[in-house]
Amino acid sequence: MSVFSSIFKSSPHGAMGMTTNQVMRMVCYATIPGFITQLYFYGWGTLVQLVLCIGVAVLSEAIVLSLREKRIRRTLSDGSAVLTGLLLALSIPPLAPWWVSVIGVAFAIIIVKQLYGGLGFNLFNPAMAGYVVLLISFPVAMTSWQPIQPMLMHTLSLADTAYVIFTGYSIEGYNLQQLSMLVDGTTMATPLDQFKTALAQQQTVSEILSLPIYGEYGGIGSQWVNAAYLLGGLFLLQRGIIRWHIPLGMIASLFVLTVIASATGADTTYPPVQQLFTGAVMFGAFFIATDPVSASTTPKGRIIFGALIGALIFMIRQWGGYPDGIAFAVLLANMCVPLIDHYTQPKVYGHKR
Amino acid sequence: MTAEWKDIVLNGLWTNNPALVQLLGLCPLLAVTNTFINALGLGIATLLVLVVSNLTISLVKQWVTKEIRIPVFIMIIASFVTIIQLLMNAYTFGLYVSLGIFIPLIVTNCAIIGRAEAFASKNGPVESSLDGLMMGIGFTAILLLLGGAREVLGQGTLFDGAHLLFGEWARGMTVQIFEFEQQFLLAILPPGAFIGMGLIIALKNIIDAKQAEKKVKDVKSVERARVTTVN
Amino acid sequence: MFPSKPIDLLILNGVECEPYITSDDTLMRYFSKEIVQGAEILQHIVSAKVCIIGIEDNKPDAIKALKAATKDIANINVRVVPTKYPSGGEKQLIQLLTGLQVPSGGIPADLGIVMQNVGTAFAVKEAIIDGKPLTKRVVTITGETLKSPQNVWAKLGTPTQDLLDFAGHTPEKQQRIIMGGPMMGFSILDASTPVVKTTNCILAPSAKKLPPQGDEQACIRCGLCADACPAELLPQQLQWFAKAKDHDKLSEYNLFDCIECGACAYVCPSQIPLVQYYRTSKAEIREIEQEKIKSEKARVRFEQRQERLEREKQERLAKHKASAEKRAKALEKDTSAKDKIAAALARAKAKKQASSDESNDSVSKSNTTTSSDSTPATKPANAAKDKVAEAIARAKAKKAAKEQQESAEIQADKKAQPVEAETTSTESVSTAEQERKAKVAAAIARAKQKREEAKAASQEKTTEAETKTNEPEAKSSEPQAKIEPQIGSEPEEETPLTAEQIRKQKVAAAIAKAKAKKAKSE
Repeated sequence: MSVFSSIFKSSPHGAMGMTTNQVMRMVCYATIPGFITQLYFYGWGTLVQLVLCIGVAVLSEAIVLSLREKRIRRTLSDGSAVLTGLLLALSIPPLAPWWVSVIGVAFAIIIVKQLYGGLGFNLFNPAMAGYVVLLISFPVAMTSWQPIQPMLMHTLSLADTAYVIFTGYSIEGYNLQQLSMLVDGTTMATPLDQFKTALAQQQTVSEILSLPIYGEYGGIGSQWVNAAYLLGGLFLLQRGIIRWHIPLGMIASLFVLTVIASATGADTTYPPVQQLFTGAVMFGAFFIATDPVSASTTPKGRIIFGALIGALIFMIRQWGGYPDGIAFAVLLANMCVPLIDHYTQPKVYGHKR
Repeated sequence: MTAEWKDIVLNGLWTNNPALVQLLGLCPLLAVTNTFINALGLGIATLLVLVVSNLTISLVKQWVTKEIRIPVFIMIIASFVTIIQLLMNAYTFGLYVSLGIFIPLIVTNCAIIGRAEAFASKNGPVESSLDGLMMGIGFTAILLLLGGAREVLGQGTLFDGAHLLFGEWARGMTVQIFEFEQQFLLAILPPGAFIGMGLIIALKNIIDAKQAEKKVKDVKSVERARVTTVN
Repeated sequence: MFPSKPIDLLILNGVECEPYITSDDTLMRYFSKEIVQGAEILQHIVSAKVCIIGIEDNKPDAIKALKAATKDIANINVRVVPTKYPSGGEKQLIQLLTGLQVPSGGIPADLGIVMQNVGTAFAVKEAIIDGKPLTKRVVTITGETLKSPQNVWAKLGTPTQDLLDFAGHTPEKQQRIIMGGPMMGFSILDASTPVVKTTNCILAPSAKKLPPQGDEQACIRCGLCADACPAELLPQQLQWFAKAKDHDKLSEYNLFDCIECGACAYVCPSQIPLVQYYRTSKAEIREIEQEKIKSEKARVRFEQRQERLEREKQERLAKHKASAEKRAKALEKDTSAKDKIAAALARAKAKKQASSDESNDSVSKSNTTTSSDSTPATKPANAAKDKVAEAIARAKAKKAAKEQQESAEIQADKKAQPVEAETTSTESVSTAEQERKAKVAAAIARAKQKREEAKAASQEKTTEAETKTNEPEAKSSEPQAKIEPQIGSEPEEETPLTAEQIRKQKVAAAIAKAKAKKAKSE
């Protein structure tokens, strides 16, 4: 009579192997193409923000975990804090002052994620909640995206960029506004901002789109950034990390609504294709809305959830006060998740419905 | 008698604080606490109304039948609020303008009708006045805490607009703690009030939990001491 | 539970339950003829028109063997299904082969389907054609720690250790031995655990190949479990409710349709032991239901007991009443006794009346009526009424005489006191105490008679005698008696000056009548 191992667990006796940590890591990897494109178009700022945000995210998560008397290293290793920091770093303007990033990330991790109970318990997408806090608190800093690098009068080195972020001035003493100046000495807002302002000035859509900040399919920089995130998203889809429901639902509803509005309404709608490749649509569709914790969890529910986000983005862009509305749309849809989940439960085997 | 009074004081200030525990009167609490002085103004107004309405209601309670007590209470409260409103209009006009609709809205402050119903209609005038005073102080304290924190976080100042309440001489009271390039709007906007309120409540719960823990520990140590003496 | 439908389909389950297991495969490959014979017997028994044998597509040899064996049989078909866990589950295989779903809480027979394992078909053939009982079965012994993994005929009851030794087992550190498959089997702690009829596999895996589940992490609601679930449940929601012990929600999300296949826990990236949570919750819910049934039973039992006690009490009371009545009847035969009782009752009533506040009014009213107006209470005997009236009148007369003689008030009080005491005691007697009352009444009557006699001789003496005789009775009465003497004496004081016997008699009779009326109206 020999006694075997004391590992006495319920069946099944094994696991597939992919862990939560791997899922998080994979999502991080999938942002690489977008990240590189952002670096190319918007300079080193994104990198500095990335380091800053991830550092603050991990630090604040560690602090709260120690206060909550949880296992710090083990929980940190799940990579969710890193991912939240990363996503926020990619969303905020590259040259935003350091304290903006710190407040945003700390809010996202401490209040939105940990105070609700940590990973898996947060009702809202932490990165987007942090982003919204920043957007309503510091509207100026959060909407001052620089025009793309090739159009700028001054381009900054990495050290210079860090200097701007931490002090507000470059080494040569230029402030943010001066740094945003174009080659011809004028300044220009982001494509979506510009579109709204120009519309208010009674310009037609085609007139607006002929401005130099617009490319063929969207903002001259953001169309490529969006394409890069689309690529990363397809990688995630292929690896089975995310499912098609949410991104497709979101992109389709945004596209369809834009088509309808363009076809029926007056000449005030951002054109459909450009709509998809400007702002943070692809980033939002594949990296933000698909955050499983705060998204709907039933197959049908995911489509509705995605479509809801798409519709909200369209409404905010079309009629809202803010130029872009990914973050607001995601948060509003997060609120609807319990309702969506409740009404979209799949038909269980052996039950008639 | 004194034990009962101590209870009333403790209830109002801490254990049954209208803002932190009963969560009553949150509407004005969240709406006007964007600066310390606003909070103070509304706090004092509420405090006064609470005390006199509690006193009045405890005096007239035997003539008020059960069926119509709420309208009667509201009328009493509304009269005092009107008095306060007129006084503020006369003497602190700036604050009156800055608090706006929230002064007449004191009538609907559940903390006041709540005390009238829960305490003043059942107790004598002295206890009721004390209860009103303590509840008012407890409420005002939270208003001030929230108002101060939001003002500091939102615009980096403290006692901004003191002249609205205290007259021109108080203009110099404003303290600039630090200066922002950009205001932290969230603290000034209503969501900031909600978040701040949540954090204050959390803080109170932490303190209560710590105290409860201490009590348990004290009991334990006593037990241990007894064991050693027996041995 | 008889099936609502006749059985028209027999399915033989040749789909292996779980990965690693090949016992059914072996059986089908080597005993296909026997299995088909068994299938025919089963088909005959349930009178099914068609029989389908379902086999996974990763068992070509078994498919070939069974196809050969069923070549000449028209209504037994071999169907190949894709290899995907958990197709071997009864409900899943039925859906795969027929497209039908077994209703929740139902059995396949509700659809007119019966499913048996190929092993069962083989055992049926052995039992019916060869007359052999089931004493052995095919067991897969497998795992990376075995030198020669294989399928063996194992006698039921064979210790696991023997099988492992037979296959050349070299245990590794923290060796796990699983009885059954990796998905639904259970770890065994003792190697002497025997093979039973359902043991299809002994698995001794290496930790490398089948790593034990790591520590549980937070659920990120990724939904992989929902994709894997063959019952299309939402395991991520279920685990949430299971942890919160929200049993209503668990039922709402159909926890009991979970077949515990383990697919969800297997794919979970956070390595949450989902099945364990579900099992615990199911057990909890069942326990609560048992408790409910138990407490319901207890409640019924309690109510019945209460009912019984009440019934017994009523019976007892009835019995008492009957016996009391019997006794009363016996007394009735003795007329003098009857009179005495009646007298006592009447007197008691009269006194009660005297003590009430309304007495003044009733007295004045009754003055106008005649004394012969008899009431139900005084009906029994006119003599008794007279006696009562006499007694009261006498008392009053005495008092009047006393006052006239300016006798001490204390004496009057003394007198009144016992009288009142008597009243209260009579008031409180219940039917059960009739006997005692009768005695008391008799005693009083006696005392009064004596008093009357004594009065004729000398009034002062009587007073003394009266107090004496009444005193012992006062002891048995309630103490409250002391409060009332003044009230009681009021009507007495009304008539002292006109102390004529006849009139007083009338008054007393009227009092008694009023009393009786009051009693009636009450």
